[in-house]
Amino acid sequence: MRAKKRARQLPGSPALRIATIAILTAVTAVLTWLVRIPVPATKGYFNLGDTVIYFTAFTLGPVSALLTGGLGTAIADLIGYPTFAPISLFVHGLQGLVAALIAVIPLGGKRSRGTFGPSWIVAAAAGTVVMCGGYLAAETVMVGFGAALVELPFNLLQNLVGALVGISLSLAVRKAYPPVLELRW
Amino acid sequence: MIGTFYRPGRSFLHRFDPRCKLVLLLLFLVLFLLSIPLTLLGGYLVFLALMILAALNARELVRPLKVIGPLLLLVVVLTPPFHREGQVYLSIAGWPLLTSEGVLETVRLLVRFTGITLALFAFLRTSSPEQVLLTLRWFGLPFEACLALGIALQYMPTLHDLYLQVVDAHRLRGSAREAGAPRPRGLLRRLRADLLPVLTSVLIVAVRRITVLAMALEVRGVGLRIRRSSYTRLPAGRPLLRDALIGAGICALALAALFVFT
Repeated sequence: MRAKKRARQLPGSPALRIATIAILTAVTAVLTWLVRIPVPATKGYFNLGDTVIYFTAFTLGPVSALLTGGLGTAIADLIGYPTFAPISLFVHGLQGLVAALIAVIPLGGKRSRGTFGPSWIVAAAAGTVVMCGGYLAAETVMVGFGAALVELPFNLLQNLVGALVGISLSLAVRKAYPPVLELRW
Repeated sequence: MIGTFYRPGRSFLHRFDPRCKLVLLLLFLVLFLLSIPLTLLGGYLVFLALMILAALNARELVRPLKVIGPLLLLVVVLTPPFHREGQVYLSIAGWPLLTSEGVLETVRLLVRFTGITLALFAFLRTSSPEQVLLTLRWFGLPFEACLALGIALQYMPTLHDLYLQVVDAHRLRGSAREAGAPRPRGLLRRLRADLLPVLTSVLIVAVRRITVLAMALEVRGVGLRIRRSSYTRLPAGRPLLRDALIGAGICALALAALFVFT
């Protein structure tokens, strides 16, 4: 008897996947561009884009993180600084994907799979490296190494805060609304 | 729709086919990233600036330059110290601060960054979000992806209002701190006290909307394997042919200049 290959089922219906990407992309874009947190010490602002990317990576899976991280930040850049939109599309998308893929590796033992543990910390660190390295490389081509280097500490700080708040958000939302995990993709 | 760069108008750039505009945009993005002679880069930049001036006006040309102005200043200040080859123009204590190579590289980066900004601005200023999505779909982006992008753009103002409502609601409930209690010190503590409850509420409301939106999409037949029709289409026929020929001419000129001058 010929063995039938079972078709790989994507989670949820196409409409659910479209709705997930659409809403999360909008959330990422809004929290990146429209919501700014002032940093009095530096008289600057940082945005919550990385926070939402890490939340999506740890809660909703790699494909959601890849698409919403890239598209959301690119849309936010198209509203304000369109020159950086192509860079954001790739760098933040890759940041979300890498963080989400590492987050599910059970580094702290089998019971730590999918929950907070060493893998989430390693995932956040990897996401930070991808984001800061990606922006440093791309901005070196666009504006030179000197100007790109100036932004590096701000990107690092933003990623650190983003990872901390993103992890806290993921745990809080999972606790308050457990069905969110059914949207993982 | 959220406030993008787009403003309606009747200029020749507005009426130019968005598919041809996208192809020209991609061409100019690639050209500005290549290591080609500075005069050629400058020529492309002047062409873009003149096109924006002719189609729109000087104020519109200055608008994107004002946005990137601080970054251009950073480039001017921080690029020369990293390029110390060539004839030295300025040095401090024997350390070359400004050299001929530094000046050339600074000018190259200024032209590159300004050119990319103007090219993107010309496209986004004269193409509505709907036209951009139709163009992407015409070039093969799946309908589902275009639908997700379109919904995201339409949801952004709603989510921004939601965020403000949640901030006000938390402020009224005094969730951050009781009356008379000291404000938490330190950025991280303030983030945890003020921001975390707000973001949690916003994300839960947003995530709850996903299932409602999915049901609405399914009711409208999204996800069915059927041949889709389209209410709005990009123009075809003579206008497309005219714009395609003009676009092809510009591409040919740009590439000819590239081959002649390199």
